[in-house]
Amino acid sequence: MAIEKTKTIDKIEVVGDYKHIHVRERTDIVEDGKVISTTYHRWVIAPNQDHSNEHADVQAMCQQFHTQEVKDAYATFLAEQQALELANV
Amino acid sequence: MTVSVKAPTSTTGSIQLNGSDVLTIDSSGITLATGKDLTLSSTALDASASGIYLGGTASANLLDDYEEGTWTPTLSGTSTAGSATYTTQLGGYVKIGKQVIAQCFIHLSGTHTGTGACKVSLPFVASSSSVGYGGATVTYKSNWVGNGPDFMQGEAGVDFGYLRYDNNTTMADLNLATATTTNTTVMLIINYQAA
Repeated sequence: MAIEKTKTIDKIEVVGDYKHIHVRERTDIVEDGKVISTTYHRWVIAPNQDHSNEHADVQAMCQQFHTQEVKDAYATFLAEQQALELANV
Repeated sequence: MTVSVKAPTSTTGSIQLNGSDVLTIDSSGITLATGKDLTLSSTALDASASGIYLGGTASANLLDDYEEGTWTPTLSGTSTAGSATYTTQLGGYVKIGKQVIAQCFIHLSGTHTGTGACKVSLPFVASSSSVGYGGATVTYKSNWVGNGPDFMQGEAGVDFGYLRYDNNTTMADLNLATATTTNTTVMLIINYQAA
């Protein structure tokens, strides 16, 4: 009886106006070749976020969709939000 | 009780109980007769490719996503994101269609270096429409400096919300530069619609 744990990036999605990258990591517990348990862990990568430590596939998606135009638009959006929020601090 | 297979034609066939159709197969698919339930005793229904219509067949009736999982909640500032050493970062979510219900537990071992308003990360980007404005209830907090968070206000189109406090007749943002210290803790129950 062999039990092993495998982790894979099983879903990468581009979401929303600013091309946020949704990443889902799937963890399978496999016994004798049969998956007996699966769990998911998620995170989101914003256009202004460092992705250098991400999986190669995720990096490729970030490079494709987080263009300078998208980064600039998101930075402008955040700056507008920040101005509103700081007025309340 | 008699179960039989009705002699199929080139376009339709059925399984009958006591001479009445229970399950019909034709060009439109498989149909259960009115009043007959589909029971799956030891296996799950796999509708992962397209989802299930409930209460109608419009797009608003389509349940096309259900997922349970975890994420790692973080705090950051709007002026300077900053960082902190976390003793605990626990986050769990259930996503039903577009609706995300999540909970998190954040415990800092020391002061956060971020500045500006205090953001908390989310497992999914919120919808960019006005209905994306979800929020969170603070279910526990301790060791905040000054005004600790009373709730999280959601924001449309982004992957975070703002921790804020009740300032009597209005609400106000936490100033992350001065809000945290050793053992600052917050627990949230979060509810919003994903993009």
